[in-house]
Amino acid sequence: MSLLKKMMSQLGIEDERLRLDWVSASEAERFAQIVNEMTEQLRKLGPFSPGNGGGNV
Amino acid sequence: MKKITIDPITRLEGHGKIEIFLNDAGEVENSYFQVPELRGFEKFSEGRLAEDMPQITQRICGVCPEAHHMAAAKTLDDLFHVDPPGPAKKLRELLYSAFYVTDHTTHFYILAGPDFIMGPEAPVAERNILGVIAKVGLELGGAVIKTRMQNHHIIHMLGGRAVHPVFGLPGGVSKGLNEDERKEVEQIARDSVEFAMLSLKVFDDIVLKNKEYLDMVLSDAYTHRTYYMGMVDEKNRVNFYDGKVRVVDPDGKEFIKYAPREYLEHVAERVEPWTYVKIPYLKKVGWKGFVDGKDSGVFRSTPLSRLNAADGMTTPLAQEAYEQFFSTLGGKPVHQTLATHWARLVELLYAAERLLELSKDPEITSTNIRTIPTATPDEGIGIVEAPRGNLIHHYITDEKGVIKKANLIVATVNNIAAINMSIKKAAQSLIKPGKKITEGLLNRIEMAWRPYDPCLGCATHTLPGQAPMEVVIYNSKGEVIESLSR
Amino acid sequence: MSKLKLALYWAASCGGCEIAQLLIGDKILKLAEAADIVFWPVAIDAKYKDVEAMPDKSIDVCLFNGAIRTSEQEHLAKMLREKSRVMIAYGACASEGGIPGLANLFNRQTIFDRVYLETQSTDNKEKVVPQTKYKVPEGELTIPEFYDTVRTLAQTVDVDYTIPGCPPEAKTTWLALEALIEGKLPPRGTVITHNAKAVCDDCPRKRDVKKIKKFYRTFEIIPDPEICLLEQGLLCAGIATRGGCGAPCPQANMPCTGCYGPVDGVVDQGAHFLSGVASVIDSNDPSEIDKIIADIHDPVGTFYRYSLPDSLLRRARTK
Repeated sequence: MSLLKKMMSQLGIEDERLRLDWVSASEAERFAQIVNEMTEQLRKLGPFSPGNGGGNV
Repeated sequence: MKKITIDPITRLEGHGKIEIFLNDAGEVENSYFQVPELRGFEKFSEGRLAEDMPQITQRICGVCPEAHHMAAAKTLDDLFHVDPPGPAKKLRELLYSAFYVTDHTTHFYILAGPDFIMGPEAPVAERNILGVIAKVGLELGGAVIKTRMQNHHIIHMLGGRAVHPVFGLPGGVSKGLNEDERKEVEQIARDSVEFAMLSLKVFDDIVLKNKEYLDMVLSDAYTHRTYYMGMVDEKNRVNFYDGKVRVVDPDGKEFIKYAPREYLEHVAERVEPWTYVKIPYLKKVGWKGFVDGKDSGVFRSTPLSRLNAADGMTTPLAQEAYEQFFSTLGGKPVHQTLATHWARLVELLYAAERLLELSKDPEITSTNIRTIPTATPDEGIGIVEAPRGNLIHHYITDEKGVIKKANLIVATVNNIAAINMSIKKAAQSLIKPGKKITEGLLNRIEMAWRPYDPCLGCATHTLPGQAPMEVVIYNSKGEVIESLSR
Repeated sequence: MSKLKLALYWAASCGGCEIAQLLIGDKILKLAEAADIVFWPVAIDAKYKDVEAMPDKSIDVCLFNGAIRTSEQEHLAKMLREKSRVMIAYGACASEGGIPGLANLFNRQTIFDRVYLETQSTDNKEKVVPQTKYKVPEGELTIPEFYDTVRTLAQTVDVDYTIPGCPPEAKTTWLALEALIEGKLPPRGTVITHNAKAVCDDCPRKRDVKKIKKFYRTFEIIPDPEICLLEQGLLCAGIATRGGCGAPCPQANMPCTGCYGPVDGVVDQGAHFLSGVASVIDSNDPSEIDKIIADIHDPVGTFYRYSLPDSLLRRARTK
């Protein structure tokens, strides 16, 4: 994960857009919490767009 | 004005087109040599590891990757403040000499040769390497193929692969030669020297003894008086791998001589809006336009230039060939562009002889081929002579050796102004009012740039790119009064 | 039997594929017996107008190398696709974007600024920049448009086969050309190479368990000539790269950099290489792991050396 995040920063993608967590089938509440946290985080970051600049991106 | 387009130019590395404008009388008003390609190495090198640069920059050109590889390796030595062991430098020069043999052979027989061997106006289907092999026969054709394959084999031996080798590191090289390999190299070198002598004879038989071609070589249409640049050793003799850069003026007198670190004081590049390639010129003379002469900063950096800028060759047979070259053509410097083809064969002989010398060097099988760098990297500059011209790599890195800035002045780019001028002069002398413009005539115009052996992938390593914008201003009647483009 | 009509073209390329094609050596004479080369700018004087005049599907095979980065290259790719029955992506640039693909970490504006305004040797006070259309006293001059993003051939037109490599080794080239000459091409979509497994399969070095506590840069160590380079801490892409090349780089004591593209079934070569590297890190302690990967200073350049345009993300996000 750390290596992936390091590479993503070279590609202009914020750390906060990636998250790795382990949840078992019996941890429903935890799962919901993680998803909500992530959703809030992404909302704050705004939509992901590969980049502007015209041409044929 | 009527416009004649040659698109693309052929029998070279890279992309180019020529636009020739004719006035109403049918004379050539002007011509433009445009390069439509770019990739952006000077920018996308940023963020890369410095030690990856020999491999990254050699993809600027797959015809001359070894030139970039060596320039990059030398730059890395400078960057990391590390001195490779003697055997490593010799191995680099050995691989480089083998490469020169392949490359100059490729140019003479495959790229430019068809113009002379088949004829400037031979049918397109025959005016190429396959036509050449059919005409000169399998013996010579076979020798061309064999020489290339054998020398590529040397590159393969040391660098793993024939195109885009893996070899150079700061402080040395990754692989050496054992005694069996060395013997192979020595034999290939001997064969290559013979082949180079044969090639000089081929040139003599096919070009110099042919009155039409000799007239063409000596004609004013293909002649320019410019400054000439080449790398030389401490005795001012030609060296492709290391030395100082020497520039002589159109009369042959030394104008400047500088070490790699000083290049920025001497060479600047300008930009024209109609081509992606930049145009270098000598700073101390200044840019005066696409013109000849001592007052114009236009210079040439080709095999012809290297012979003009040096006082001699370090190997015996090449030295003889060098002397014969100048005595036949009336002394130094030689200004006839088509003579570059001959100069290239003199260099072919030198490269083969140098390869032989190095293959017999007692240190060449040493296993001491790496010095591990210990200093902190910061900035490095490395210069070699690429087959197509002087080649400069310049890197600035952070303390970990990650590239922050890269500047590259690449071989053929040095000749862009001269190529423009050569095409224009040839076009003006060949296109006359009332004369039919045939494919063969257009090829004779292309013969004006072919001696430069351009590598336009090299020349345009860079990438600008900008969204085009056109503004058209209309008056109240809806007529166009002004049109601006960005 | 009539001869095959063969076209070979180069887009955003370096010419290395042309030299690679010539490295088939005297087999070129066999090729010349079986095929007429109708378009090959490196060696033959046929011009664009000659290709435009050819009827559709009149070219039997087109070997197309180089990535697509300008409007001219896109136009040639589409034109040659129409004129050719079989289109082959030859080499890493056409297949995955290649080294020019690293330009996808930037965009036109930043590259333009560097080249025409910032480089130390450029003297351009008037801030002149190349333009796609420019009026000179005699008339108008045009040059192609530069796109922000490098694309592969397959992202531009339909591709029938791929010959991988930067450049393809002579034996890989001949494998394809021989199949062509004998009319025995494999199923459409095949990546033509002798060994579809990873380069490790070609590589003679001894392999054992990989447990890395430290990664090294190529100039930091002199590797043992017999043992796997990844095991010695060098970032060797062999684990994530298609074979058939014979593993020449590891045999020259340098790590594989991935030029034959991804192995069968892998869509994103860089991700595959990255996860392979991550999996050999011998630690479960996050701070130790961070220290180990701190020695990997250029993940994108290392993992996506040739394949950035062909990756899932295709390019970096730039302002």
